[in-house]
Amino acid sequence: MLGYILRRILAVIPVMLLVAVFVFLLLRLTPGDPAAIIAGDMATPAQLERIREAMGLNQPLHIQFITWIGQLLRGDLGTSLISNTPVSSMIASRMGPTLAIALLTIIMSVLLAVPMGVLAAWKHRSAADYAVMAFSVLGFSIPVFVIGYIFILIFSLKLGWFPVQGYTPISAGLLPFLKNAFLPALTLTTIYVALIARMTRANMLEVLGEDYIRTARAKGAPERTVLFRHALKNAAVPILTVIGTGFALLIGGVVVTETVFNIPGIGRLTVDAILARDYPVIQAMILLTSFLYVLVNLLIDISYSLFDPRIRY
Amino acid sequence: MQFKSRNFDDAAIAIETDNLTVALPDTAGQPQVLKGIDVTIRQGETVCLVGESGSGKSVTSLAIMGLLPDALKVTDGKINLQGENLLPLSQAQMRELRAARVAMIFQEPMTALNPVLRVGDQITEVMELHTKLPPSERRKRAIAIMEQVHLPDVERIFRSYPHQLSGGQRQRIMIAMALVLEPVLLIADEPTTALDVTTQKQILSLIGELQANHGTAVLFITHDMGVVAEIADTVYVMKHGEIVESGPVEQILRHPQKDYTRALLASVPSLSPRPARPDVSDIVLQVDRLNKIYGGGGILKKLPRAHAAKDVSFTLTRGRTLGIVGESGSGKSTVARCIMRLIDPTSGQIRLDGSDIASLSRNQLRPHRKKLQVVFQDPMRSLNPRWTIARSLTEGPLNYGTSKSEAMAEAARLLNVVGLPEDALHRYPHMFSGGQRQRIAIARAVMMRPDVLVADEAVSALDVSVQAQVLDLLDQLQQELGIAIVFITHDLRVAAQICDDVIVMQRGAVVEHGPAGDVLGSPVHPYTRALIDAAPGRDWDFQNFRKMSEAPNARPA
Amino acid sequence: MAQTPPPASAMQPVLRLIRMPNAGLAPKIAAVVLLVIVLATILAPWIAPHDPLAMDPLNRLKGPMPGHPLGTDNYGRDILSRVLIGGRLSLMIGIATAIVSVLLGLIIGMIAGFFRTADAIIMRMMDALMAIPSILLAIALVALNGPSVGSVIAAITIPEIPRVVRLVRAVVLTAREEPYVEAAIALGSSMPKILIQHLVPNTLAPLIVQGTYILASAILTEAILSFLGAGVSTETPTWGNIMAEGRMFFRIKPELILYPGLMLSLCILSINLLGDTARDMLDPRLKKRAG
Repeated sequence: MLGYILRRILAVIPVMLLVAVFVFLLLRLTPGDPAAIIAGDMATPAQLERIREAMGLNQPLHIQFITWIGQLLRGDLGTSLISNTPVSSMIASRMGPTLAIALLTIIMSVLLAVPMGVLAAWKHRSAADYAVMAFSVLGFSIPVFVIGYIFILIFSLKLGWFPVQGYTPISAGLLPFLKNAFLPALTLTTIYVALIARMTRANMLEVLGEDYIRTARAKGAPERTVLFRHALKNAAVPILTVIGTGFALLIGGVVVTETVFNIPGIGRLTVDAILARDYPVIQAMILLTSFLYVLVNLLIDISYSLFDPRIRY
Repeated sequence: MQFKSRNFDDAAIAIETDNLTVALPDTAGQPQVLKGIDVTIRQGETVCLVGESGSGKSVTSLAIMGLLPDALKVTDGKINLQGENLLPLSQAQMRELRAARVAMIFQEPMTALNPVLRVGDQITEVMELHTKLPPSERRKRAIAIMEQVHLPDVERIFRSYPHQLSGGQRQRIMIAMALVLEPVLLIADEPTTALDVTTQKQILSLIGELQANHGTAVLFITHDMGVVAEIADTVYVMKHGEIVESGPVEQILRHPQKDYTRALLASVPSLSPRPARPDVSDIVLQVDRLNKIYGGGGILKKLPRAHAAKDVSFTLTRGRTLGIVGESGSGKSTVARCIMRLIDPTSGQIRLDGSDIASLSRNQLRPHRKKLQVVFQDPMRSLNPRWTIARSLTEGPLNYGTSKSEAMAEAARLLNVVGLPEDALHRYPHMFSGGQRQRIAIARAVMMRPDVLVADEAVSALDVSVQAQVLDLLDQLQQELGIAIVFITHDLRVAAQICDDVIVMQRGAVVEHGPAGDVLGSPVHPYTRALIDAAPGRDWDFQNFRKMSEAPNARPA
Repeated sequence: MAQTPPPASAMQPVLRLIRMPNAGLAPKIAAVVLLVIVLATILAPWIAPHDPLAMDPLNRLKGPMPGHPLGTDNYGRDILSRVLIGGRLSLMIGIATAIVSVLLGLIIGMIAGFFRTADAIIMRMMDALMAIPSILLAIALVALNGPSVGSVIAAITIPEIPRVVRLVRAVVLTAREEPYVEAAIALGSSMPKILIQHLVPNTLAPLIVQGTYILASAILTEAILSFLGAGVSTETPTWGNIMAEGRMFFRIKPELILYPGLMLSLCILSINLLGDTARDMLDPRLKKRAG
């Protein structure tokens, strides 16, 4: 078991390294002078030189890369070109809202999506199945910001149940937090549920056709037992996988939702940095979110063995 | 051959189907899958339902269990379990009865157990569903039934997952699960078909033993006449959803009344080897100390090493057939794939017409490929489904510079030889039956005029009647063209009918090698003897409806 | 079993799709809706009531009125005309992305699936590419390369490629184990020949399905990029940047987001439904279950 975890962790290292290379090259290989891109069209030669100096752009590529990786390993994410504050402290101050909303989304999504998918597979080709499928295809088809605005329009402007925009941290109390966080989380949940419910249904359908399901029925097991004891555990691995790969979707969704609901999270921070070409922040944010994605998927990989004894070693 | 000859007339009827009719109600014409089946099974009796694929034997068993797929519906008849008609029962009532009064075991022990639950829990679940026994008692009974099915080290196996057990052990778990509540009727749907013969023998005798102890009625579904001869009290022969003929086992095997039954029995290959053909000195294939070792590498984890072929050596001369027989995992397919160079041998020589091809590169191999062709087991997958038969047949010759028109003419001619009409050329594989596809695959190989044909379980997926025709075809082609054949099979009956020489493999090594008559007629190695001993119905001469020993010039087995 | 034979020729899946046998009502409606939207955007220059760029300072943010069936935006431009014209570029970006990512993914996936040595390196690179959140990668690419149509297409295409590569590679790895491929090796067919004649046709059906999903998701991504301020410059209207411009006025005139949003969602919904239909028709496993 420990060996398995260790191997999974070792396998992640080259992927992370490649991500770092991609992110690094993203700026360097862009046509034109990176310093000019960062500084904008109006920059004076002196400004350009200052940026090149600050970012070490005058040195050969591999030296730049090694220097940068060295800094990263020491926990130094660089300094913002715009605000001149360390990137790590910028991230730290904006992490809370994003994590809170993401967590709320994942919890709501899994609680909703898995039962929906199981129901759809069990009652295959029934009205319930079509309803779940219709919902999931809708969730894939409406841009997340449009969903967000529709929710604001209905729940905030028309019904007045929630504030239109803004954010209150959990430290100010659970209810005020939920009042602000519920709509953004519900917006994200819509797309995440679409994804997970669809995957759950597909895999449950496949598992329900397996021989051991026939065996369970031949034992006289009631449908509840067949579905939850025999089928769902077997369908768990691909469902977990899609929760993990869907994490990328969630990150993208968070960026958009934070903009719609005006939430001071790292999504908003990233978009602002990209639009302002604040390159140290961009590098750090893309690297950080990728690292988070890899970490989540690593944990999911390791958790497979809880559901499927065949994956243990 | 000692048939069962018990009389069950006085025993109570366990189950009886009366005019059981099953149809596909949603398909055009509402075709009937079962057309009025009458089967009676008495307590303690073993009834064999025998037939080829598509005969409706599995549908019969699923109908009794109330587990028909949604597309199938019982449209007429009765199923009486101890006098009570099951068809009007609700789903909940049927659930109560499954495993408690009617239990079932399936063909594939590999997939019939839930892979993510411990096998012990899967057995106790039956009691959890049907009894009010406390957990400790459930566990005690599960352990007891596991001992009854002769599983070793039951405490450990109780905690194991299915993937940690062998196929035979899993089937024992299935049987334990089926019998733990002492049902009236046990339905066994091809329970030994996926198992090796030695394991099959153990499972068959286990079912017999438990039946004797518990007085269970057994409905045994099989396509294998050998198994029928071993275990049946009564036989029902099925074809296209109808019972063709039924009666006590000895009557069916000795005096079959219907043509279909006679034909079915006649196509069972005999275990007594056919006479060998004269040997010639023209060596076409010589394998010398061939080894294949898998694994051992791996960067982060040492992969387990498997010695799949150990020092395998043999010689094959023109126009003769060498059989490589063995159970699963014996390494016979590894040898075949090494010879074909679909995998790379670890060491050793493979001399094809004098030149060693064991270590040639892909490009160096190309001129030799022509001489060495292959026919695979699965007729569904051995032809590209998107290609016409003509394109498949001419693929090889076109690679070696034959003109298109010449190749097409030859393809048309060979289709005739393998018994297919010429217009088959422009059709696609899915328009043909399994047997026909296997003929096409053989024609494709013969198009290349190979010196050696490797047939890897080439008839194993076919029904016996079709099997016999394909074996005849191979024999005919061999005589006309002088092809040498390496015939890989797990089936000793097939080996006896087609091979001149036989190699017996066990765990990667050759344990016996010699003329088929010697190896199969008077085996020396204990493993060969065990294999022959395990072949079901080995004392019965199915083609001639008599015991082997009753043959005019029988030699003592 | 015999009711639904497997696809006989490489073109057969395409033919089956066009005919849509035994498809339900939903995909047929979807096909009609999509056709109407596509025709409307193609014909937009002729059927749009106004020049989508013509401003009318006297009629800003008006509701539906004669001459402006859907009202006007903050510059007094006609919303209907903008929505119709905006679809052209959105659809074009989607189609270009689908074609480019499928082609590149096919080539890379083939290489990964057939050459063991290249496989490990390619797949690690794809893993890394998939680890970078696609929206972030795309906005970064657009922000750095400028808001041209080309850079938007590249920005949406690059994150889509790994999924296509994985799909193609999986199909190739499964197919190369098929006995008919091994038989082709035995028949002396060369590797490129096996690759092109036996393996590529197997990828066609899944790629059609994947292509429709990419088309849908690319149109969606374009909208999101524009919304975040990293899309095609606002001089050319797209569904995305019309909605982005409408953000400021959402409280007073939500139609600025809702109308283009509705068009876009209907369009993507139709494409997704057709994609699902295609998948159900082409998936051999589903077919087996039905037969």
